[in-house]
Amino acid sequence: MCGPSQRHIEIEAQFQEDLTPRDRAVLGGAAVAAAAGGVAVMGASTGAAIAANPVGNAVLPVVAGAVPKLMTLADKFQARAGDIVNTAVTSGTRLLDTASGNINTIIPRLDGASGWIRVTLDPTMSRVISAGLQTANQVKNGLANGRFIPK
Amino acid sequence: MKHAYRKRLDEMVDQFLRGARGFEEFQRAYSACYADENADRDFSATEVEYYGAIHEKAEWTASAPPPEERELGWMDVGDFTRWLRSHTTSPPPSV
Repeated sequence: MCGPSQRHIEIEAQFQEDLTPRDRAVLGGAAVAAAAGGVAVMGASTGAAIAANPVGNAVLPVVAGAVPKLMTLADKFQARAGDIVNTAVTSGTRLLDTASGNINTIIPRLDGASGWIRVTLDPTMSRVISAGLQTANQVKNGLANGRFIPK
Repeated sequence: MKHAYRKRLDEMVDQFLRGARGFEEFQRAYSACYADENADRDFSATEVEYYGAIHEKAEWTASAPPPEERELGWMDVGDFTRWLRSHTTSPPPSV
């Protein structure tokens, strides 16, 4: 009950296999930045940067409510919000949330801790509508009870 | 250990509902406790659902989401507070 399910392990393994070299560089770079204090990415998290361009180089538009959540994640992991979005959108594991019809794209936490970073897309996958954290057990339970369906 | 962890989460919820913590402070503290410590590894599936739902709802809460974002699932702090009051009327059994 308390350990990761086989399905969860398979999803994590598939995620790792699907990473492109660029994605690995982004994730690795973020981890290195976090270890070093993340000085290089702090500029992207300033209020001025948010106002001018909410998530920098994000490949999809981000609704206003999701911006502060993404910035919180960026500050927490000392990474650029746009990189978090892009890694999740292009390489994250996609789970249909049957409760809402939205698509959760999840990537492993950048600090190496157990759990996932969640970037949620609308059903058409044309914009980012939310972001946050999910524990491993939240994902595992959602898969087990049918709320989340791999897409 | 699990009981102490549950107690901490419950206390945060109680403080928020009593007005002793604002929403931003509550979410920051609850998220740090729930998502970062990841102590839900000791939780039953029911407990994960219960405490995870609070974490998730808080992540979908903003000060004044416009109608378009409400349709996407966002709520304001007042809605969250009302939801939380209802949610906490039936906590899961501790096993």
